[in-house]
Amino acid sequence: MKYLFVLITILGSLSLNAETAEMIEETVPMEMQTIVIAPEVNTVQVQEVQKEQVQTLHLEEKIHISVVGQGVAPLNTSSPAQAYALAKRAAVADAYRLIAEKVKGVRIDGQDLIKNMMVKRSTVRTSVAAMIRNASIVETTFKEGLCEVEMEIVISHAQFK
Amino acid sequence: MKKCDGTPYNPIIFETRDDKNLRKILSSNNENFIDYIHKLGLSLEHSDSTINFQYTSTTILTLKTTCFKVDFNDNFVRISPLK
Repeated sequence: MKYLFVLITILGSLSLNAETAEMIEETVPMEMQTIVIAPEVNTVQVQEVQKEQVQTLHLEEKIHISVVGQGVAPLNTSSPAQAYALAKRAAVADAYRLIAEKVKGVRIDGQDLIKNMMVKRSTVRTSVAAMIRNASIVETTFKEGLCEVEMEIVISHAQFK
Repeated sequence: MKKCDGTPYNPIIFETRDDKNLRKILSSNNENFIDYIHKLGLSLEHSDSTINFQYTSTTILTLKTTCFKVDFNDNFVRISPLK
């Protein structure tokens, strides 16, 4: 009698488990379809819009470039004023060169000549060529024969590429 | 010499002090004029070399070829590049 009661309870629990399993099979996939797929589509669309906005903002974004050019006066000048003017001209040209290097990049060529396991000649050449517009001098200082010119240029991200 | 066409923009004005000689006016205002003309466009070529740790460099600045319209008034001259 006792064993019969235990058998009935086991069978009852088995049938109950089978019913709940059927319930899960029927209901859970429906819920998965509605909950999982819809949010994924929404988030992907939102991210694409944000990327487009970021790209357009970057192209219009202004880049502020500031450099300090240095120039030294030649020794054989006829007056201190001429020395200052020549040093300043050299510093301005150096500042333009630094801006060109920052915006356009530098070409570097190197060559070492080695004979009998010894370096005979070591050469490093750098070059840059650019067209510069709307650069402005911020500050000029002249101290102990060295002229320093601070120069800045504002360019858009599209020009920087 | 060909005649230039274009619309003037971004003018610079110098005092003439009753002088109609453009060369003299520009040389007496050379600092301002050089700063101004550099802003219009400047071609730069730079090269340097370091050979056995001795450094030499050359920087060539070339002004952009530009036509200007020059208007003399009583006391001032207005110089405008043409675009």
